[in-house]
Amino acid sequence: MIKTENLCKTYGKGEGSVAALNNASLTIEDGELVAIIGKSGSGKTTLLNLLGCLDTATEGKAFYNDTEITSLDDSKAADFRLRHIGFVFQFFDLLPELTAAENILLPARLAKKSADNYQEIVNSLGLSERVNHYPSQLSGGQQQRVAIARAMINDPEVLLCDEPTGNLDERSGKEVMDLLLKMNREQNKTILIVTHNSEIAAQCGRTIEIADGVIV
Amino acid sequence: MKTSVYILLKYWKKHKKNLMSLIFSAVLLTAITLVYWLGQRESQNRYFEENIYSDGVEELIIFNSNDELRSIVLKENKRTKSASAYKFGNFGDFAFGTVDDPHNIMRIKLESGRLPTDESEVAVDRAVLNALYWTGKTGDKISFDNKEYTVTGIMDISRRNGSTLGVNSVYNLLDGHDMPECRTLPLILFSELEGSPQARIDYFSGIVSKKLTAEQAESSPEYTRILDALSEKLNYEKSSFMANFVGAGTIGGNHSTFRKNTADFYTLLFLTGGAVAVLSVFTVIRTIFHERQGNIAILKKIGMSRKKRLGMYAAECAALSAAATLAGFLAGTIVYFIILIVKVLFMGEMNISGFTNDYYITSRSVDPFIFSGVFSVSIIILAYFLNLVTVKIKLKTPGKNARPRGLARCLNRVFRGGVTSFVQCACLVIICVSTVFSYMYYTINGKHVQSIMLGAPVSQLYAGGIDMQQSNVAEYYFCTPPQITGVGNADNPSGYFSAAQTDFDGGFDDGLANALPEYAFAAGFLEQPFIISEEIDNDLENQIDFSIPQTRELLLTYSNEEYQNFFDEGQIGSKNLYRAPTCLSDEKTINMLMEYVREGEINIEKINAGEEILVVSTKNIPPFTAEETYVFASALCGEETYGISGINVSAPVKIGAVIRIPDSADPLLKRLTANDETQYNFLTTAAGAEKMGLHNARYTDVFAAEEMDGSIFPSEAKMTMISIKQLKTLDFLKRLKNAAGIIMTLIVMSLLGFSAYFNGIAMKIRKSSYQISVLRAQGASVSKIKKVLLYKNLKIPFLAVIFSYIALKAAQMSANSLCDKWDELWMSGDEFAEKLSETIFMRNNWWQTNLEIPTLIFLAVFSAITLILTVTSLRKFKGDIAGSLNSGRTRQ
Repeated sequence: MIKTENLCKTYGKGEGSVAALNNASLTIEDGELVAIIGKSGSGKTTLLNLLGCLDTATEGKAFYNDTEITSLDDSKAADFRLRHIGFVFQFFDLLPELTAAENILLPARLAKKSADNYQEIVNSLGLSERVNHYPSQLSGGQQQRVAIARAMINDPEVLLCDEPTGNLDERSGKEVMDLLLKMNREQNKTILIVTHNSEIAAQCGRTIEIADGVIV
Repeated sequence: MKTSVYILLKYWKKHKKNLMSLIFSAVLLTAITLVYWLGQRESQNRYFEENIYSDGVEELIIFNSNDELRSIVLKENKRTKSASAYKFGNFGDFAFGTVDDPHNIMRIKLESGRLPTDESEVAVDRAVLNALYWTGKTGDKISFDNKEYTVTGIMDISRRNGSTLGVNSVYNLLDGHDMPECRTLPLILFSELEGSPQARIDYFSGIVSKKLTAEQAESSPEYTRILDALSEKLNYEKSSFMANFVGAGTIGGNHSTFRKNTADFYTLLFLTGGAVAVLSVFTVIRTIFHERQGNIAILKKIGMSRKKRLGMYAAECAALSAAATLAGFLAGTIVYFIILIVKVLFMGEMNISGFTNDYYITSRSVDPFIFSGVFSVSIIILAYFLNLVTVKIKLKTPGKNARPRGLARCLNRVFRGGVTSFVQCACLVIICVSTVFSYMYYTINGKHVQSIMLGAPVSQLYAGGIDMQQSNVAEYYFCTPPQITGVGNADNPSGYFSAAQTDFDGGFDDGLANALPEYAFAAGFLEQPFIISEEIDNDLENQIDFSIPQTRELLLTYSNEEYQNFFDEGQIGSKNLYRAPTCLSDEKTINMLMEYVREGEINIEKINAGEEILVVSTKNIPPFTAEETYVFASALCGEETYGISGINVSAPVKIGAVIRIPDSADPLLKRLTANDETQYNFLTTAAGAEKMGLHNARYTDVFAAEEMDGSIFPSEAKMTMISIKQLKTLDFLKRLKNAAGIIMTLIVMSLLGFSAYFNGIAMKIRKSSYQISVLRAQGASVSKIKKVLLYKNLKIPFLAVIFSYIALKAAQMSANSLCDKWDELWMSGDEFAEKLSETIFMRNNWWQTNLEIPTLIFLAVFSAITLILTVTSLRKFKGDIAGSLNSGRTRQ
């Protein structure tokens, strides 16, 4: 279960400060597929970053089950992120120096896990023929699938996806969404998807709307 | 164009750190090149300052030449510039004339002012002005031959002529003497003079090839032609003229040898620094190009043509070149002057700089500013060009069935430094080798620096013949002792007949000696006293030897009339004379010898009265007994220094005490009372010596255990003081001077290290900021990333030191083996040995230096700094991963 209590994030200080997130409180149960929607600049990505320990909250708390992630120091947050969270970015964020396979296996190696599920993940994402290519040699859809595979390799409980189809064409976007839905259905993964696409939001079980940093 | 410039400005505004790195590297390149060439000019300037008047320069000087001769020389050698000096006559002992020297070939050195340009003006040599007791300055009036002139310049040439002041060797030439070796000029210069000159000297520069030896000059067809042409016109024998001509060739050879070995520090600086700076510029530009690829790709996508993009690079290159050149000139000039100040203040060099308009210098070296500007701009343009045309290396796709690499290899690949790491390593190797090289060169086997580090004294603090520190002497006062002339048998110097200077008036007497503080001790020494014995006394040593007739003749020739019978029967010279060197010590010092008396007793009153004298030895018990009496005498030398102008003979004086000072006694006491050069010496007070009739009986040295008021000595005593504080300061400065060379090298190497290496550490981390953010987003902690980067960064100094050590060790082994064979090669006349002897390799046995210590220190320092820089560069990656991921994306 993911829970936040009055989570706030303010950028800057004094008069020039911007409250990107303001007293966000929510609860997400295990296995939920949740869409976080809102206009551009509403605070969706900020919320996702805070939940993914990619940023530190100015105020408030966030919990993953019994673990308060907002109080973790840098190395503990990194370890938590490595083992319990999978993050899929809009711009894929693959390391260009590594092949697709190496990108996928990176989190497993960082966590010193055996990655027994590697082949299964690769096959299920249709990447078998392309794993030894570099990101620059893959299409956008393929890169995003590699990113999803990377996010899955350590079998995290939660997948956080920040506009996973935002950089893809319609067909690739649909493929990616189908994968995510499948993972939620078959593996009971808790998936949070940030999107401004209402069609994607409609496919999710629940929608959380954010406007001007506040959960509506 | 405006758009391109706008884009550039916006880009650099956002990437200020990279811009700073780039400008720094380019400025460093310009600055180092400028410093080097200024240093070369400085070395040339020093050489000419020290050598120009003593052995001439690379030129031909023809005395008593004419237009025809001049045109022959100029025709034969098109590179030649000429000047002429005309002597019109003499004003007293000094020659006057005029010069025609538009290129300043004659290097007339002016103490102040300028050469005359108007007929009412004159420039005069300092020697002339002093002889005329003229105390004015430039702008004042002076009269010659009832006519008044304005002194526009005061020259400083006669002192450097090597000839006697006031004597002009052209004058000698007219008398038909041999050609002078030194250059000459009239010592009073007018702007114009009418009439025919008495003598003319033509100077030709550039006439002699710089690399010719004397033998080569003789056999050269060019010179033979000139010689043949000239010798027909001159009144001199060809051989005598050739000597002067060939002399110029030899001088040229000397100069070229000098130039091969000059400015070691600057050459080392340029080779090392220049190489590092060039690599640095290349690497920084390459890194920036790499980082900007995303930027350029966007510009391409939005439609910026190739031509416009190239124009953008060209504008950037031009701006960088201009900034680097100007800033480099400024930085280089500042650094150069700092080095010069260190050399002048701490290394005792003359204040001669590379900034000069002197034709000799400017014609023999490149213009530092032009060369450094052109060189650095060329390197920058080349770096841009090479980076533009370099084909991007495509990643090779692994085979279909290839296994993914492990974590370590993946991270290695992610943080691969590529060319940057290679260049960093190369730069460090260069810097390490140069630093160790300098350490070897400046420290001579490393011993001086090691002793500085350990605090052991480089020099001992000696003054007055003793170690001041060891003997607890705070101040030493002294005046120049009386001069002594010695006449005798050169094979038996201990038997010289000595006579004292007649007009010695320095030092002081017992009245002042007894008024000195109790911690101050007075001493003096009389070398001339001798004992007169009717019989041969086998106990006495140093019998005066008049066995050689020429000695007697010399003595009598210069003696006063009343001593012409010195050797006659019954006269002093016919008797047995024995040298009696006599120390003078004050009363309290003499009383300190009581414990060392072997026979007799010390009676100060009788000593002061001249009735008794002591005999002292530090070696054996002197062969005297107390109560024995001797007749002492003292001679004064003649006006011509030899001969006798006066002799005092004492009444018989008793030996008051026989004293043996043991080895264990205070060294200061020994210094005050004994003469180490003889088996024994006599000892009395100044008053006693005077009573005995010994000439120059005055104290000339004072050793004080504490600081005292030196005004106790009247000016007539002519006492000078050395203090232990002064010696310690001089000692410190001497050690600082020894260390200055290596300190300067270390400073320069540090600057280079910063530019080439440390800069690269921060740049590489900035370049990898996206990758670091991605890894952190995936769950890698900062500490893990830190470990990976530390390992990668620390590999570079380790590798650099290993390569450097191998290279230096190999060089050391080769040099040592060469040194071992060198004697053999040299004896066999091997040309290689001769050439090798001219290089710096054969100096100082510096290849014996222990290489391990400096390389380990180098490794420790660079590793520590690498560690610190890596850790501090990674600090910014704590906290906000999302933000750094965002900004990293834009770079990609």
